[in-house]
Amino acid sequence: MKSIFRLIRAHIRHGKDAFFGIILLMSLITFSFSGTVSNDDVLRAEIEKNFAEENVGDLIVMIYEDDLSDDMLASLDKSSSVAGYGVKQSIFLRSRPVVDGAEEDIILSFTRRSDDVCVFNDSFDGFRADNDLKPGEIFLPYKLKMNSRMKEGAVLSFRTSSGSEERYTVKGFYEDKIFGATTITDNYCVLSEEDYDRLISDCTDHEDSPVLLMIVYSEVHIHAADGIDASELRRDLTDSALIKSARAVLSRQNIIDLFEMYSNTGTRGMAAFTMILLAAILITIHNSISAAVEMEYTDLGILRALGFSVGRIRLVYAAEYVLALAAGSVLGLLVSIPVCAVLIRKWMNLTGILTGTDVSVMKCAGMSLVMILVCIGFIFAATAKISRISPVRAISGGRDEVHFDSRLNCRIRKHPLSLSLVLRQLSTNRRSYTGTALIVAMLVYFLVSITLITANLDPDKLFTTSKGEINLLNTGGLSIDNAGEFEEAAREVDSGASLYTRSIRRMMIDGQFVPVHAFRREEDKYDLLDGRQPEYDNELIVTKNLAEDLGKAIGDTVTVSCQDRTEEFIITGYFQTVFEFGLVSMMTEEGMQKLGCNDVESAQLKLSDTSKTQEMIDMITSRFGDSISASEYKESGTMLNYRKIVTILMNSSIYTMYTVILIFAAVVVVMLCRRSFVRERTDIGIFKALGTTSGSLRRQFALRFAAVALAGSLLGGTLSALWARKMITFMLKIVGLTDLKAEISPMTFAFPAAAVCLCFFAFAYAVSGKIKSVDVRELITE
Amino acid sequence: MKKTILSAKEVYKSFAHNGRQTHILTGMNADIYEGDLTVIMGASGSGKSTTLYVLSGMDRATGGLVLYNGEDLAKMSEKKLSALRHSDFGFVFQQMHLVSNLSLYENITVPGYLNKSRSAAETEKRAEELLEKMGIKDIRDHLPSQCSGGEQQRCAIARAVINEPKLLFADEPTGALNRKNTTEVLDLLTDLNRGGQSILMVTHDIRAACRASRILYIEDGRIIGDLDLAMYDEKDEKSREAQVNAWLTSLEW
Repeated sequence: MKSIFRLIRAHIRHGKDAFFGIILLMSLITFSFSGTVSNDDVLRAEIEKNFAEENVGDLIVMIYEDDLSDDMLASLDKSSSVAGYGVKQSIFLRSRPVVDGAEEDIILSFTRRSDDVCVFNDSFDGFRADNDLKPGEIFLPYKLKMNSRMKEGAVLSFRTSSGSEERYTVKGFYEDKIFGATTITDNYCVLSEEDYDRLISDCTDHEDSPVLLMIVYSEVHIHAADGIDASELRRDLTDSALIKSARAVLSRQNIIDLFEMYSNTGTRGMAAFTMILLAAILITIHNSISAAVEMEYTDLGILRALGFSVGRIRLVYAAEYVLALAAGSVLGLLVSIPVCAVLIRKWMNLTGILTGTDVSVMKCAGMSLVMILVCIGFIFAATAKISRISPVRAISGGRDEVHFDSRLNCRIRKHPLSLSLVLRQLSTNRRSYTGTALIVAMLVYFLVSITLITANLDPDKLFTTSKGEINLLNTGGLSIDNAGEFEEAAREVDSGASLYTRSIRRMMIDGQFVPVHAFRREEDKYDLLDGRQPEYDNELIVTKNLAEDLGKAIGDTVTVSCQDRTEEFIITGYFQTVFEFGLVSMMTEEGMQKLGCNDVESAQLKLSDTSKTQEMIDMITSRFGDSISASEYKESGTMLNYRKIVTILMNSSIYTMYTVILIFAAVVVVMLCRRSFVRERTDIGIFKALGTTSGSLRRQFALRFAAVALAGSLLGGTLSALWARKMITFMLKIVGLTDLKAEISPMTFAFPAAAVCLCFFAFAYAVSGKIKSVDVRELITE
Repeated sequence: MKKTILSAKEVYKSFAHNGRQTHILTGMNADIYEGDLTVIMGASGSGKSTTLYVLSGMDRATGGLVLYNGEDLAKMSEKKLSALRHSDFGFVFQQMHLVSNLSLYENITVPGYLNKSRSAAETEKRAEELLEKMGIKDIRDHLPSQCSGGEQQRCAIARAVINEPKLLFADEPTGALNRKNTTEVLDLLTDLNRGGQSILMVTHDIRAACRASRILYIEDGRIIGDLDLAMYDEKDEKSREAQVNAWLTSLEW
């Protein structure tokens, strides 16, 4: 045993570069996945804790309080699928709030303060002890902090149904445990009991008013009976009056998905990333072991002659690499502890909830252990060739069986001599360089993939909001029916004015509650992935995600129910959207009307002459002011900030990935170059003695690795052209994107390939600096 | 009157090792003449191999001058020295040092390709001639690892002379060879010399030294003996050996 330890020590000392290289590579992998895994864990733990505290149901039904009847609740009591339910009340504001004098395009709802409301402290890393709220004060959800106007002390005002103006001073930001994620557009603000009750009275007193500025909502949290899951519960309640009258039905998992949307995408990406890096590590280990066996061929023969069994020698190799892998895992975990504390906190900008920042040490250590076990198996396979070493042959210098694995007939030519020598080096060590090219291929594949993902998740494309110069706030005056009349009125001011409207209504499609969109204008409609746009009132299009869930395809018929009407519709095409994780349908306005839906959710007016903007606003205010308010379109500060944060997160993710991959590539190339340098030291001396300059040899050395990188890049580019779409589709399906929209240009492949090739060339050239230290005298035997 | 091809004047060479200076060459003076097969002999550690590196420009002298065509090698740039190695100088090593992944033919042609004054076709023609001359034509496409030591050394000599160097340096070229291969290699070197090739060879083998037209004996970093011999003739081998032996004995070798 002692002799094995001595051998391991000698091995590590002799192959320091490989040893430390593997440590660095493994620490990069561990660091990468521990951040993601820990973030997922702390986020899920916090969500579960919060949901338990808030008693969130397995199914959450959003319904106008006026529509909620005792009979509906009684039917829940009778249902065997329901274990219990709870009802929460909130007020939905249909008008836009004004913050410090400026109108904000955000959706607000109000809830009554409870004693357990968690208000963030000034540094947003904990909660205040004092969560009292006086009349005239308001707590905002954390996500509104992204809006630069929304700060403590700001004054928020809005009109109530009675027409009076409410003014509140922002007292702080609280943790909205259910709807706090930025992926949820509703913003639930907390009011004092007195203010809340007054608003409720205002709503009740003016419920018959033609202008409905506030609506009282009920959230019915339904808990499934034991053994019943959310989808079964939903199915069992499909025909109930409660579901049919609901404005929206969400499952507990839907809300969790909204909290975890970005982290889940990141996790899928990281899983692919980790697998690629692991494969790269395995190839690196294989290369390293092959080179070591080749260089230590005689020593291995001597060891075998001295009585070391093949098993023992393989154990030495395995122990060396396991030690490096374990040290890399520990290092990666140690580094991730402080870094995760910072990175996990950054996710709060998207989740709106305060999570712990602990690293899931045991889980990550377990994952590292699995990786190490995979590597051990691989190391034993890679060292199998040791059993083929004959002691006699090794000691007598016969090493041809392991020395060159192949020779291709690439001729050495005078012009270009360097290139032909490079090609010869590559072809005579084909196996080793093939492994390196595979690593490059994987790295390029991944870089191309993340470039495509970033292009597809471009916030500027995902969150476009307006088509027109004038934003119309519909408080009951605009419907699908009268949109034409409104447009005619607008054309009296500007003959080229066009009205854009969008109607959204949640409907039951084959038993599944999904939002259905309808647009007035063709150009607003979703781009088709396949099939054709709906033209008649019995046609609709669906996302691929929804089609999969429904088990239907183009040409199939689905049953659509809304309130008390039910109609058959034909699926005419597929589209994609990030709304509601891609579980969305779209039909014609006529289709909507056939189902009794006439509401317009949002509207804009596009002018042909923008100088008439104010004139148009004045006309709308004077003629339709009671039920439609018009204002010049300004992008919501919240949306701008949201876009900014998503952009920052996307950019930092891509830069981090690029950095990690380039560091990884650098470590791999440095390891390989150093090995090659040691192996070729004599050849370098010979070339120097023959009159080749150090500069020329360095260029030749670096060119060889750049050529390998180029070959790998071509392979990686081809693989990504073939399979990146599929992988990305799998990753982005979770956010509703089922087809890549981003244009794939030669640059999509060229840039990552160039980055890796340049990295290989630069680091190989840097390592080749050692060539200068090779002295021709080394060839001379004293 | 022989023409001097290379000249060493008061050449010093020292090494620092663990803070201690070791003086290898201590004011060495020597002239190497064109057309000679000059052999350097000396006891182990006398500085003969160092003399060869310094004279061939592979190592730089600590002091003194090594003049080639009137130019001091110590003052030449790395680039110029490299050019010199593939145009004017050739080198044969004791351990052959062929490039392991090039065939014998390629090992010979590569330095030829480095020489810009010669076309690829000329290099290849000369390589074919040398393969023939060295008796390794049949194994031209073999890798060095597939050849015997003698075959490798013959290839190394062919590689060294591909560019028709003005001076061929050989460091113990028979040191790693058996008797048969030694004779073959010495015969080749002698033939080359007869053809006008200037050769400077380090050896401690008397049989090799007997092929010389001149022997320099080095001790403590200086040339202390200089023996001129007639052109080698195998008929005179025994008498030459006796002459060289006697001379070496007089120098307490």
